[in-house]
Amino acid sequence: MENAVEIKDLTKKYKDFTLDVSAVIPKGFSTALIGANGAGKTTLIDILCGVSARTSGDAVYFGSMTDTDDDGLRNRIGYCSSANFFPLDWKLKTVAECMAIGFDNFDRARFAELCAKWKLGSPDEKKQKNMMKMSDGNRMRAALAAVLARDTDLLVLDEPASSLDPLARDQLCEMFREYLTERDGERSILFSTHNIADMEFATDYAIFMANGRVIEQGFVEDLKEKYILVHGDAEDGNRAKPLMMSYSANSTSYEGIALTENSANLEAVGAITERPTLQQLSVGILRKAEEDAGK
Amino acid sequence: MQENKSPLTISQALKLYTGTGFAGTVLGLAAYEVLFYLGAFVCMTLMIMLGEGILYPEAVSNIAETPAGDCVMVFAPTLINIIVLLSQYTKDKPGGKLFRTVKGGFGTFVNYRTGVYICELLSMLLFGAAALLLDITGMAKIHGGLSAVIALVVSNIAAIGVITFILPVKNEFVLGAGSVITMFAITCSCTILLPMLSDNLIPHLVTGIAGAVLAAVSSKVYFTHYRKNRWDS
Repeated sequence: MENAVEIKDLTKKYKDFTLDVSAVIPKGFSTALIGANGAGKTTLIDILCGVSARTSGDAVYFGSMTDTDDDGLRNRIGYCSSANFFPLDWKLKTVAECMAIGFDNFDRARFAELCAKWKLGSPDEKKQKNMMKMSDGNRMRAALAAVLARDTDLLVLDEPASSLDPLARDQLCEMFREYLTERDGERSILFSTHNIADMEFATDYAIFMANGRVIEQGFVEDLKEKYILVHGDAEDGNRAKPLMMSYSANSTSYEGIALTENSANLEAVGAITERPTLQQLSVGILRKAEEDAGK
Repeated sequence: MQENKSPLTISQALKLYTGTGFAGTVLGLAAYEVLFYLGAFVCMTLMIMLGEGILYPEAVSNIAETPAGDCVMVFAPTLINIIVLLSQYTKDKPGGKLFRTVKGGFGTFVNYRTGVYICELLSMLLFGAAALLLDITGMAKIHGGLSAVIALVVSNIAAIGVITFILPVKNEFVLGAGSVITMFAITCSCTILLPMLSDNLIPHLVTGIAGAVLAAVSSKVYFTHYRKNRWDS
């Protein structure tokens, strides 16, 4: 398997937080970066896109490129941050003009097309709202339209779905698919998200982060084979708990995640096992990480 | 692999960061400065007319008799210059992250800031010319005349040089207050004192050269500090 990015022992040290990541972003797929607030997702994305400097370690892009200061690499990465990506006094026209200056591969016609699709108006209209007067969702749409209007090989999006309504999230998932299939196998996406349930359709590969480290990664289909969702009656919970990775219970039932290799033993103690969704998997894996960190 | 790092030109960098081109920025700044000056001068004239019960030409003449009008002239470009200087686009500000990913990266940022300095200087020259024109036509009077206008321009260069040294201060209140106090202390005193010091322009020339050297040195220090502590942080 070819990788769009190989991250090797990448670290970033702050006074009260250390990021220490080794991971891969497979080429030709959409990768979700999943983690709780403060897990280090934005820090990692900022480093990968040249917004922040790393303390040590390497990231190798497209097999050989390493310098995020290199304009050749900048042009191949389409980056968009979560909030206020553009100055608030900019209008769509300013966005189009400035993106054309700042990047070699910006397609103004494509930008206008995406703006129309998302009902933002036209960058050529005389009367336009500036970013300050747009809703959070429309600001995000404008930023996504600008980044998707560039001919890039890797999209890196920090929380692209956080301020979008459910319909817009669905459209975003479709756009991810279109982006990937336009040059099948050549383009890749990395995005961070809290709304994994809404973005599951757009996720091929998942990287789970907690406390600045990668705690699990793999293709979603493989992870769904590796882990099972376990649930049952509360009275059987104590017998199932030692076999489970994460466990939560109320007065009537319990639920959690376990390794698939434990399924026979779990069924023997009355548990019901199922194939988890990515959302259930995420909750289970992150809960386990939180418990481990608290020990 | 051959690395490719080509900063955008000063004009492109200005357009990218501010959304306005070189000429637009200079003319915009100069227009704000002249309008601000006119507004403040008219306000001051009205206060004198109402307070002393005199007519417009006489009130303007009264202002011209003291350096008070020259202080009003200092306020306009000085305040505008401070506002522009303090726009730093750090990572936490809207646009801050975008600007770190565009062509040329830090080189483009350096060209943008250099463009800001050039625009401020050119807008000051335009403002100075406009102030002299207003003085000649009698719409607004400058006590120190041409000498005061030249003093204003050269002292602004010196003040920009000094303020660039304090730009790395992270506390926005301290930075804002410090910049305003520094800017007014330098420009007001120079604009009023330099015309009194000498009949020739030698003190102006010395202030201008010192200011230009200071601005060059402080910019160099600022860029080095900014790259290490803000850009790459």
